[in-house]
Amino acid sequence: MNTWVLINALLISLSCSLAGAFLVLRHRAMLTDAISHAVLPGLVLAFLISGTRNTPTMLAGAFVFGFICIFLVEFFRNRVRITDDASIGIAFTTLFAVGIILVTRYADQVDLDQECVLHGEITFSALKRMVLPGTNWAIPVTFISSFVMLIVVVALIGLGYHSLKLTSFNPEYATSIGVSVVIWHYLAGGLASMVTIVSFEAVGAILVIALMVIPAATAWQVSTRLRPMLFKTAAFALSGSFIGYWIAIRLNVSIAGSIAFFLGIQFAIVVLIVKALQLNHFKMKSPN
Amino acid sequence: MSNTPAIDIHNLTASYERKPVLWEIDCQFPQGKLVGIVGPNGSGKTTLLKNIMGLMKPDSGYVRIFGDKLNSVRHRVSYVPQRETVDWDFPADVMDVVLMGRYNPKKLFNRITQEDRDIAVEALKRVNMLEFSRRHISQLSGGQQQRVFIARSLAQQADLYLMDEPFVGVDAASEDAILSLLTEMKNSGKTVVIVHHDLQTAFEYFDHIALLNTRLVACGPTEEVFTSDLLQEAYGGRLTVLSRIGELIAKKDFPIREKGQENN
Amino acid sequence: MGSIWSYFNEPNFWWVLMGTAFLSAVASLVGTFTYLQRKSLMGDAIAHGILPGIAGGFLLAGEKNTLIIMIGAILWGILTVASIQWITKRTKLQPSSAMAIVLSSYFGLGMMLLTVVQSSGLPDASGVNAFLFGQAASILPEDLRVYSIFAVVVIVSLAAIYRPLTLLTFDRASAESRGFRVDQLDGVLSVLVVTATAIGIQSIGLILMAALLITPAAIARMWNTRLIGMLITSGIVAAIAAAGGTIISFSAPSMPTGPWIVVVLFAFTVVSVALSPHRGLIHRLRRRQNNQRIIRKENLIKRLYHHWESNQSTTVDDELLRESPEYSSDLLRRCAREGWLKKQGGQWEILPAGMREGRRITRAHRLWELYLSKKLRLKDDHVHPSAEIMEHLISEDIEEELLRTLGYPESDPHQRNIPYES
Ligand SMILES: Nc1ncnc2c1ncn2[C@@H]1O[C@H](COP(=O)(O)OP(=O)(O)O)[C@@H](O)[C@H]1O
Ligand SMILES: [Mg+2]
Repeated sequence: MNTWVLINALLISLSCSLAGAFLVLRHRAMLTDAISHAVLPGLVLAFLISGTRNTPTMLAGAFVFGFICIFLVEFFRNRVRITDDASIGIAFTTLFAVGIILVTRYADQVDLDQECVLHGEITFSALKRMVLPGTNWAIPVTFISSFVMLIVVVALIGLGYHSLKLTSFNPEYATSIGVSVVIWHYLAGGLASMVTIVSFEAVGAILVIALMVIPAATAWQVSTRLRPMLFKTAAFALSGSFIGYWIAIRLNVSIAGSIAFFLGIQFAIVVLIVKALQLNHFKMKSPN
Repeated sequence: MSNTPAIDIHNLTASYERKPVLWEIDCQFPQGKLVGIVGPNGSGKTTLLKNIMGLMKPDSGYVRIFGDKLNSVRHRVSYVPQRETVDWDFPADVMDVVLMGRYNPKKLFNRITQEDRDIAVEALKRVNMLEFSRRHISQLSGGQQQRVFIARSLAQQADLYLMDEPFVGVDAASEDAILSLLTEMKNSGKTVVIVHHDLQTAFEYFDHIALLNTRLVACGPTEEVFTSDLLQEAYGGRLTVLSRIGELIAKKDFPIREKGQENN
Repeated sequence: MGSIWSYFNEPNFWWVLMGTAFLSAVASLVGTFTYLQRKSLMGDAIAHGILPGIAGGFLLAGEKNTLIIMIGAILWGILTVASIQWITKRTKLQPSSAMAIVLSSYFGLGMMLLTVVQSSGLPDASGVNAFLFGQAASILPEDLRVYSIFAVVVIVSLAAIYRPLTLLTFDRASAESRGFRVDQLDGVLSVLVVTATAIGIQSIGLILMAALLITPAAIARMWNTRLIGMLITSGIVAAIAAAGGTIISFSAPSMPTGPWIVVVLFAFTVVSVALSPHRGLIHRLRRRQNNQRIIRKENLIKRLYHHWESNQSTTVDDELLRESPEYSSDLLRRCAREGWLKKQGGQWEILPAGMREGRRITRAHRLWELYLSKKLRLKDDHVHPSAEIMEHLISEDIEEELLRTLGYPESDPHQRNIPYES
């Protein structure tokens, strides 16, 4: 059972880190913060309305609220001229507050509680299983959804690679050749919302930010080109999650919390190594 | 080459947060010339380029390129934004940036072909940057970064080039190299429009000049425009009537045109 | 009724109500400065980042000791700020990424510590959850005393650095050039944000703390143009919202307080977006409608003046007017009310006031055309569309300036006479 939990954690961290990379490259990392909070009321309402916990309904609910969040941010910023980051702050705190109120109010009907909202319940993610047709393998349902999500994320990035790159690097130029910056901005945000929603149950609202931002930020420190950076992002996501998971099991603490923390530690170590190497490089050069 | 102007700007007014920074700009740039948009800092040169390139919606007026709307001639136009508009820490090397010039948004799968690579290499050769093709863009000097931008533009193989301040933060050698390249492009029939704020060099560089300072002061062949009166007017400050009425427009949220007349 | 409102008679209730209102107001004052410096999300990062300090403080004290937890929170908050600064300085990442990294990894550490707290069997272990989403009803008067001491420290510090901080907020460059230690001020402000966050944790909770730092300031900005007014408004808004959250917390003890405070704040936001002067939607809509009304009205009187110019007649057939695009009976009635027109039989008579107005608009139109032609060197057939709108905007003093600039001209580019009052 533990193996499934680990595999699930690794799959989720792959999808999140790849989807998050394009927000990090756009300097919009805090948007992941907003999105991950804002989808909560969507999840709860989807539960309440459908009475089930299946992925498509939750996706729909969360999508609607992810959209409401982005709409509110744009509305505050463009129509009321509230500053950019304050618009984000107002929109997501409000939606998250509504979500928490709903969770508390309907705690008995909704299979979620405040704690689960904060750090997910990845340990239980392997409980519900289904038998793969034609075999007698019982595979956890969450594994299947995480796996499908990873395929979708990789496929979308593959298809939109050039446009995502162009609109992140040089939006003016992208517009000048007819690539819509707005559309790709929303698509990058939509991709992030999607992985947030699917990962929410497993890792909760705040730690999903760590998965989306930290591996990409780490990879950026050691990359000069985009494609290798994406591979390194995936590698850092896997290694950080693995260490975090392993330590959580050893210490018997929150798995999601530990993964987030060790992704951060890994980032700090990489930065320190890069700096040390640069310093060395500099020292070796300077006498000449 | 026809006599259709490369760019035809008609009564263009553009504003930020409702305050006009360009007033009723109306002029034409001929084809096959090196055209300078010249004016002091903050005079709206970048804003004019943005309006030409459809990056901003004007409050009044319109722009025609080769007599057509931008969307139907986009493939013939290449835009080089100000250097500060990009994040030079972005994970891309020189070759990656130049290959961006080969990207066609109309095609779904944009595989980079050998032909694209050849064109990119050729473009890098023309700006003398081939030896740096695998270097990260943050490790270049200002002049080299500008040359990479120009190489990307060359790779687009357009007929009209619009460049925003290509000589800013550029060393003398790069400036000479860029200038001779631009002249070469002009001689092969391309139209090159350059935003430039330095009066000293403008006279030598351009065939045709638009003098700008929130309004158009003059537009024509360089010898005609470079009179001390006109220069004095362009660099002598804003018109107070325009600034005051601009403030009123912003304060009262007043339109720039009557309803339905925005294109006039 | 009686059972729900019974807590009104508890002395504790009133203490907590006033306490949370006061603490929230203080937090929002700090938020006003971060809002104006466009550092709003820093508050969110700090609030999430201090969780290890809280959980650690709890573990150290072995119980829910407010003072030790506060100190833990503040120290870890400072570490959070320092970490974010370290990342922005040492790497090419921008503040937004640095904040997301620090926020999420420290929160992760906090979550690890919380699981330790929960399995520690310490008394009150479940009480730590109150810090996440706020639980006003669980605040004790002695906690309030601790929080309030810190709040007073915040107020005194703000007052002490008020002037340099204000200068820094509005004009960083000039503050630097005038020799203020800008980075020290930044540091002090960061410590104040950390402290404000720490005093808010038990009423609003740290997850939603950002709302208390951001939303009151944004609301206050919509109603004020001056800093002092902003500070007062945001303090009042935050206090009311906190009081609302507290009342709800007492009536439904299982409900966390924080989300309700945020909901009340959002209600204030909606009202402000609709109603505030200058930026409010309703005000803007009205202003635009008003502009259109003025344009239509003035176009009508201009048309009548042109009628007089070509026919030298001050009366117009109602029939004739009906053909013009501006015609509407409502509009005519409004012009009549202005004393511009009078209806007699089937005819409209232009009164002297109307003539003056028509002449003024026509003069403005032609002056503007001449100005565009002379000063902007616009071709004569390009000047009309702009004049069609500017004629409604040109005020008396702008007209005066136009006249002076153009040397009191006689005729416009189309050789039409520019009419003056004789
Ligand atoms: N995004 C913007 N928002 C508000 N004002 C702007 C913006 N961009 C430019 N401006 C203002 O518009 C004017 C013209 O700017 P710009 O076109 O960049 O001038 P130039 O390129 O000639 O230096 C300046 O006064 C500038 O302050
Ligand atoms: Mg410029």
